[in-house]
Amino acid sequence: MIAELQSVCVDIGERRILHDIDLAIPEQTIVAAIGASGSGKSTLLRLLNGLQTATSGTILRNGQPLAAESLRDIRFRTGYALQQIALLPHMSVRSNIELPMKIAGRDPEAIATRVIALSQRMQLTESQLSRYPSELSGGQQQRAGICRALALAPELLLLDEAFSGLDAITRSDTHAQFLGMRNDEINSCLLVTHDLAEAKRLADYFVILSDGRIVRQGRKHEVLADPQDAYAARLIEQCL
Amino acid sequence: MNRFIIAILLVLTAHTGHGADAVTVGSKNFTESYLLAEIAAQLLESRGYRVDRKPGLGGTKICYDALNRGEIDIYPEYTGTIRSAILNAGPEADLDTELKQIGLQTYSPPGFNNTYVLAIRETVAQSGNLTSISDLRRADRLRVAVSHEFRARNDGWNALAAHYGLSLPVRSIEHGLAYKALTDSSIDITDAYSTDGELARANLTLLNDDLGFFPRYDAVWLGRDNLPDDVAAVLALLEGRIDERRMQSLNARVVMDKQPIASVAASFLRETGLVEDAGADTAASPIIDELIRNTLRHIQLTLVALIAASTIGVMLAMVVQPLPRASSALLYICSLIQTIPSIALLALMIPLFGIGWIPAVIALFLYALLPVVRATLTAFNAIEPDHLTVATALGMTNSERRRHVLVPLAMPHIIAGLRVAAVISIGTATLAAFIGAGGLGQPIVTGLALNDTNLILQGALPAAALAVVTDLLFDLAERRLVPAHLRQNR
Repeated sequence: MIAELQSVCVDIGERRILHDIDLAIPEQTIVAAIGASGSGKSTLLRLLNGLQTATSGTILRNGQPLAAESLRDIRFRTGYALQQIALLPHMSVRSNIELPMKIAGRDPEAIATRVIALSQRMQLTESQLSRYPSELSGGQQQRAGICRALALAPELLLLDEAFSGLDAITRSDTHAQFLGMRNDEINSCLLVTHDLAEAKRLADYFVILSDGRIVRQGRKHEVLADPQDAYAARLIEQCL
Repeated sequence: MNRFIIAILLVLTAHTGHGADAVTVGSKNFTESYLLAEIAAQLLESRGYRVDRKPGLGGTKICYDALNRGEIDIYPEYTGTIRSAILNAGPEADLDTELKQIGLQTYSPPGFNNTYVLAIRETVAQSGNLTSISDLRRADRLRVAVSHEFRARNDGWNALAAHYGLSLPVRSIEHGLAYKALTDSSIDITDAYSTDGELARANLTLLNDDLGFFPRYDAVWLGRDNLPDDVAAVLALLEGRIDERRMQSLNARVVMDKQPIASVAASFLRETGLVEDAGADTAASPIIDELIRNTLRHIQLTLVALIAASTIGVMLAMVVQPLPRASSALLYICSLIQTIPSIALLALMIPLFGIGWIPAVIALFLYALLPVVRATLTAFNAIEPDHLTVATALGMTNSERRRHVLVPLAMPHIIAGLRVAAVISIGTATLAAFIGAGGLGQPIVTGLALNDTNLILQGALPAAALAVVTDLLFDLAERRLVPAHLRQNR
C-alpha cells in the first residue's frame, strides 16, 4: 500500500474533525474523497503528507509509520496541488515548476528536461512558462500547479479541489489532460472533491465522507450501484 | 559579502577620534562662541598643536557633558552661566572652588563681560520713553520674544520678570532670528548679549539694568582641571586681549559683513600680533570641499543607522511576528520612540553616549526602526497562508521556506519601509550637528546661529537633494528586485 490510515481521529481544539478513519490507497489507483464542505475531506488529505497530525490512530506510508525524520523525504514523494493553486507570485511559472526539483537537489539539466516534458503534457507554451502566474488564465495556472505537483514524479499525488473554480469547458479539458497522464505520470492519487461527476470521471475508488466519518467506501461501480448509506444514496441520486 | 562587512566596519570606525596630542576645542552655536573657539584653535595650531574642532554644540548642557566625558578639552563659557547653569550656585559662591570639586577649571579670561541685556527697538523706546528695565512695568503692549535658553534658565526671563515685577507676555525665538524679527518690527524686545555685533549697527536701545539683576558674564575658557600647562599657556596669550568693543566689532564682521569666521579669527590674530601669518593656510576651505565632507559624513551617519535599523528591525519583526501580542508591543514601543522630538532624543543620548557620532547614529537608528518594523510585520502578515502551506508540502526546511518564499514575498513591503526610513533619516540627520556629529546639519546650525541664509542653504539644499536621490535609488532598486505586479509604490 502506498498509504494507509488506521483508526485515525483528528481533533482541532475541542472539535473532532475526523472520526475513526480507515482507508488504504493501493498502487495505481485514483481515490476520490467526496463530501460536502466541512465534511473533513481536506483534513483527511493533509494527513498523508504530514500537513495535519493525527490525534490518534496510525498513518502508514509504504508500510512505515509517518515520522518527523522522514517527513522531508515523504513530501518529496508526494505531489500536492490545491484549489487556490498557490503558485508563488514572485516567480515565473517555470521557476514554480522547477522549485520542488531544486529543493530536492536535482541537477539543472534534469530539471530543464523535466519542465519541458511536463509542460508539453499539460499544454503550457514556452512563453507561458516565462510569465508570472498572475499573467496566466485560471486554467493555465491550474495546469501549472499540477505540473509542479508532478515535478518529482511522486508515488502519491494529493489534489485538493484542484479542478474547482474553472469554467465547465476548461475543466473538462483539464480532466482530459489529467487522464492522459494516468498511465505514465500518475501512480496513485487521492483526489478531494465535492463534485461527484468529477469523481466519476477521474477516480477508481470512492470514499464518501459526511461529518467527519467515512459513510461508504468501495470500488466506484460498487458504490454507485449500491450506496448502502442514506447520505451516499442522496449524493449519487443528485448526480444522475 | 565579506568585502561588504569590511566596508561597513571601515565606515563605522572612520570617525574614531583624535590622537593623544590633539586639542579638541568646542563651541556653542552662536557667533561669539564660534569665533572665540576658532581664535583659540588657530592660535593653538600656530603653536604646533593639532586641533580638533567641534563647533556649534547645541547648548550649555551639551558642552558641559562633552567636557565631562573628555570629548572636548575646552570651550568658551561665561562665569554667569557657569554659576547658574552648571553649578546651580548663588552669587556668593566661589567659582574656582566649586569647579575644582567637579574636576573643572576656568582658564585665562579674554577680557570682556558679555552679560545679558534687553534690547528694544529705538522707535519704541523713544515713543514710550523707556530707558531702563523698570520702565517696562508701565508698558504692557510690548511684544517680548527671548531666546530659548534665556526663557528656560534659572537666571533668565522668569527671574528677571519677578525681580522687576514685570507681567509682560513672552514668547521664545531662536536667538539668531531675533534681530531680524526686531528690524522687521515683528517683535519689540529681545534678550541680547552685550557684545552682539548687531547692537553696534542696528537701531536698538539697550535698557539699563537699573535694579542690578544681571550677574557678570565674563568670558573664560572652561576645561577640565588637567589641561596640559603648555596648552593653558597658549590660551593665556589671549588674556585681556578682547574687550567688549573689540568683541562687538569681531561679531559684527561675521554677522553684518558676512565674513567667514575663520578669516575674522585670523585677522584678529594678525592685528594683535599673536600670529604673524594667521590665515595664510586657513583661508577658509573652499565651499565644494566642505560640501563633499559634510555630504559624506551625512551619508555615513544615515547609512550606518539604516543598516543597523534594517538588520535589527527585520530580525525583531521576524521574531515577534508569530506572536500578535509581542508584535503590537514592539510596534507600540517603536511608535513611542517616534513621538519623542528628534532634538530631545538627541539630547537624551548625551548622558549615555556623549556627543558626536555614536549618539547621533543611535538616535537615527531608533527613528528608522518604526518604518522598518512596521513594514516587516505588514509584509509577513500579508503573505497568503496557502503559499506557506505549499512551501511546507514541497518538503522545504524552515530556512528554505525563508529563502524561497517568506523573504521574496516580504521584500516589496520591506523595501518600501526602508525607503521611508532612509528619507526620514536623511532629514533627521541634519539635527545631528547639534551634538557635534557633523553632516549637512553643520552649515544649517551655523547658518541659523549666524543668521546666514547662504550657509543654511549649503546644508538644506544638498540634504534635500540627497533625500530625492535616495528615493530615486530605492525606486530603481525596486524596479530591479521586485516584479511589477508586486511593487508597493506603483
